This record gives sequence, C-alpha cells and structure tokens, in this order.
Amino acid sequence: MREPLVKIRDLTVHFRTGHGTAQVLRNVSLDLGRGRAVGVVGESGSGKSTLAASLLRLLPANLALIDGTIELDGRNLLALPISQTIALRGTRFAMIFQDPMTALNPVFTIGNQLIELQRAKRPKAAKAELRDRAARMLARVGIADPVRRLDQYPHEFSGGMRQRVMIAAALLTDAELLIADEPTTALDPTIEAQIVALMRELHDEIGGTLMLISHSLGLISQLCDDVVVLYAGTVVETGPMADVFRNPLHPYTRALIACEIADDVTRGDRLASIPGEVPDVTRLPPGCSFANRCPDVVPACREAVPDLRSFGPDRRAACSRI
Amino acid sequence: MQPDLVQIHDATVGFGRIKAVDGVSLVIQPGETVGLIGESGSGKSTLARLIVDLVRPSSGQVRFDGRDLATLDASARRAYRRDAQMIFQDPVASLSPRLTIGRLLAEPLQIHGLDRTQAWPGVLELLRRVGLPGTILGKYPHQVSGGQARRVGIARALVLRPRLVVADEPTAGLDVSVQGDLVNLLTELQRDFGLTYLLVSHNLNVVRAMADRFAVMYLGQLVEVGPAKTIFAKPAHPYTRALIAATPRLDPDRTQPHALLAGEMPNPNALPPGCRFQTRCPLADAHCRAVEPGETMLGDGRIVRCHKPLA
Repeated sequence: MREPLVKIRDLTVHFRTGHGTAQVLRNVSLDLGRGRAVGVVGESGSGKSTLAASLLRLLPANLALIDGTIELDGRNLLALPISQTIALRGTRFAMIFQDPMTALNPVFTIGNQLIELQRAKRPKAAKAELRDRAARMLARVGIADPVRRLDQYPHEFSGGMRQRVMIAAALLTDAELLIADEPTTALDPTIEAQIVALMRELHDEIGGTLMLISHSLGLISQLCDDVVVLYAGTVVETGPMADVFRNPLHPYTRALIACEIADDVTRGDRLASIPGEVPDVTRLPPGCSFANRCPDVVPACREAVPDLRSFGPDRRAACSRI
Repeated sequence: MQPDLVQIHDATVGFGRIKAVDGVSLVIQPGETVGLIGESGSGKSTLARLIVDLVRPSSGQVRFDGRDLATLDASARRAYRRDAQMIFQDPVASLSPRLTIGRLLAEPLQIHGLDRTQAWPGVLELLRRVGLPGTILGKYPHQVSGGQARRVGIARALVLRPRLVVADEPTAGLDVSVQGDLVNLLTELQRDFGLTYLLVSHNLNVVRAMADRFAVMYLGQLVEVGPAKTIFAKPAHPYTRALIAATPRLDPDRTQPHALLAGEMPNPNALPPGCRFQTRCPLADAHCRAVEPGETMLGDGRIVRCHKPLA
C-alpha cells in the first residue's frame, strides 16, 4: 500500500483554561491516505477543529501541550521550527473555512486575493497569467462571468458564491491537502447540495487529499472515502466510510447513526437521542470517556481507557466490549 | 370544526423597496403544528415576527381568535402578547447575560403584573417538566450547556401559559445527540399544554417530525401549503421537490440524487419577471418567465403557486 500523505500518531493537545487543563485531543492516531477524502465526524467539544488547527499550527495562545507526531513525507512537522510549518500553509495545505466572509479580506477585490495567494508557488509569474488562472478557476467552480467578478469585492457575492470562491482559492494553491471545516454549515439546503456536488466532482477530477471536518453524517457519507469518529478528544472508530456507516462497531457511532432522522418519520414519532452529556475535558473521568452515556457499559469500562484495536483490514475501534 | 386560531390575510411587510413578506395568506388551526420552511432571505422569520406582533403588516391583516391585531387597544395587545410567545433561535443571545435563570423566568410574570408568589410553584413545575434541575435557577445563561439553554428558552416562553408558540429554528446549532430530545420535548409540551405551534426552520427533517402541515416560502411568497405527509410524498412545487431532495441524509450507498437546482435565490431588490422561481426552476418555460403564477388549489386541497405543478 502507498504511504499516506499525512500520518498522525498519538497527537495530544492540551489548553490552559480558567477551570484547569483541557485535554482537547488525547492520543489521536490517523492516516490521511493520498487521494482519499477523509471525514472527521464529531459533536461540539470532540476536538475536530483542534485537529485541523494542529495540522496548520493555528493553535491558540493558551496552548499548554502539543505532543505526538504529525508526519508529512516522513518529516515530523511538530519537530520543525514553527516558521517552517507556517510555510506549508497555502503551499502544501489549504483550508476552507465555515464562514467565507471572515476568511476573505473585505477591502481587496476577489481578483487581488486570488492572484496573491498564487505567488508563493509562482513568484515570477506575470500578473496577467495569474489573473487568467484565477478566472478559469472561478468558471470551474461555477461562477458565471468570472472576468468581471474578479474585480468585485467579497460583499458583492452571495453566501454560496463566496464559498465557491473559497474553494477556488484553495484549489489555486495546488495544495496536496485540502482541509475543509464545516464548509456548508452556513449555507441553505439547496445551495449546500450544489456545493457538495461541486466538491465531489472536483475531488473526482483533480484528486488530492481532502480532510472534511463535520458534525453531519449525511455530508460525510456523500463526500468521503474514509471516516474518523472523534469523541471527547479521542478516536473511537475509523475505517472506510461505507463499512463504518453500514456496520458501526463502537456504541457511540451506533448511537450517532440512530440519531439521524429517517425518511419515514412523521409527526409525533419519538426521535432518538443520546442521554447525558459529553464529559468536561478539564475533568475527564478515568476509563472510557463514553462510559457515562453508553448503553453497553460494564464496570471495567470505567477503569482503563480502551485501546484503538484492529477489527479486520482498515477497521479500528476503541471499545473493550466489541 | 374549530375556528382558526390565526388567520393571515394577504399580508405584506415592506422594508424600503423590498417586500420581505408579499401577499401571504395562511391559517393556523388550534392544536396543530404548521412547519414554515424556506431558505435565508425567503421572509420566513419576518412572517413569524408578524404573527407575534413584533412587526406590523404594511397591508393585509393578521387575526388571532378572529380579532384583527391592528385594532387591538393597549390592554388587549398586552393580553395578546401573553397568548402568543416566541422561542428564539439562539437562547443565550436572547436571554440577558446579567440575570440569573431564576430572574429570567420571573421577568415575564413581572411584566404582565402577575403575582410572583402565586405563580412561582407553576414555574417550578414547568422547570421540572422541561427537564431542568432546580439548581439551575441560580446560574447565568452562559453557565449552562447549549441544550439546557434551549430548555430555559422554552420554559420562559411557557411561563405565561400561551396558546400559540412560534419557534424560530429551535434546534439549529444543536448536536444531533440532543436534537431528538428537544423535538420530543416540544411534542410532549404541545400535548400537555394544548399548544398551537408555528415551527420555523430550514431543517426539513425536524419539521417533518413535528408538523401537520407545511408552508413553503420562497422570496416572500408561500409557494406550497398543505398536509406534511402529502407534500413529502408528492411535492407539487418544483422548489419543494428540490428542497426535499437536498435534505442531507446518511447515504453510504450514495443513492441520493445530485443537486436538482442550479443558481441561487435572486436578489430581492431585483426580482425576475414572471415566476420568482424561474431563474432556478428546471421546468421553467417562456410562460413562466413572463407571467407570475397566482395561487391555485389542487384537487387534494393543497395550495400551490406554480404554472406547472408536479402533483
């Protein structure tokens, strides 16, 4: 098998907070295979956005600890000087944020921004050439009249169009890894469906590795080849998307899938939920962090943190009861 | 048959040149749940605000219990504001951060001049009913979880024992693991308190689990109104069909069709000629681009605004 593009091993991230140390990620290990679309699913507080921030070194000032390894081409990024990891942004890693309005600079035209971001890799290229690339990429992501649109400012675009601009921006960097953090959450359903279709088409056509962070199982099932389920800062299950969703192993994955509202639900039907709350990551209980909500819990679950064990090729889950 | 609780007749709300709500007629019957669906900018929140008297129509009427809201005097208007309550989308933003939850629950009683000691046991019972511990009364909104804050918002809306509750995106931003609980709670409260709901949401799945009838809004107009089951099984308006198809679902086999629509909602400042949906409609022809469709009633009683309904 080919070496994955990124290998994360035992990634642990702690933040200092007013109530003590928050263990936001604990021993997270996963691979981003070359050309794969990897979905990272988790609810609020699962650590999924911190995972993306760790790759890009966009961690907040209250970072208390970052440990483990993030390997790119066999080099551990966490051992490199920060300046070198920052240099990877926009060259080898590109990010699509949830809210394009805060990611685009409101005082520069779209054209200006789409030209400048190409400079890192094409320092000597003529401006006209970069502008032409930008226009062709805008057309590719479905923006009509791209040459005129280049001279407009972000506020002149609708929400869906801005997200298309962000996708074009990410693709113009020719980055090998595209990280998308809830890229469609702020969009309306019919626009979301259009963006999902575009992302799927572009991924099939251009290739590249995609890490998609989302709380939506639906979105991940439509876009991803592999899935990583995070709960309270740890990987509880990972594997090929269709296998995990058809045959979930971890009780949390099963419970999450059960919470999806089925097509035949009608008025008054009782919906599933997961009782209890996510544990406070500043006061984690010993043992499995899902134990207090797990329907299959036994006393041993509260004693030791379960290992991420292998269940057949590519399938892993962290539960001692499987 | 019981008389309608809410009757909106040809109501228009204009903000400058833009009509956020444009000639909308809708009735809500006592005890039912109407799900109002539409995307951002469709005017659904303005319509919700119109019903709870937070905005006034520039033309047309809103009637509650047969009485035109525009004709109410000050005391009748205050009484109406007890009868019709709103649950806001973001409870933490809609609750004052400087008041404890206990104070926040007492405030509506105070505003409406109710005796606090007499009403308080009912408030405590309500708190228990929405699944919150008594210890929460001393906390501030930012000290509770997202799910608990929603419950506080619900309890606060019910303190005055309203008849109509308008819920604006009650589950938006919540994790799926708690969303189901909240929907179940709203359903139980409706039964126990005999409430009538207008549920505003862009999440079709949540609306489907709660609504008797759907009202689908597009660019200020209702484009389809009818029983939820019928609309879900056989949407008549091409926009409704696209909206249902676009609802994200867990689909490991990838059987869900690709996006049915192209383009985006037009700018309400520059509405297209003819049907407002013609710029995105896969079925639009020359007639649709020239003539605006009126409301027509289908054989099953549904109301549709389309020249070429699908059902």
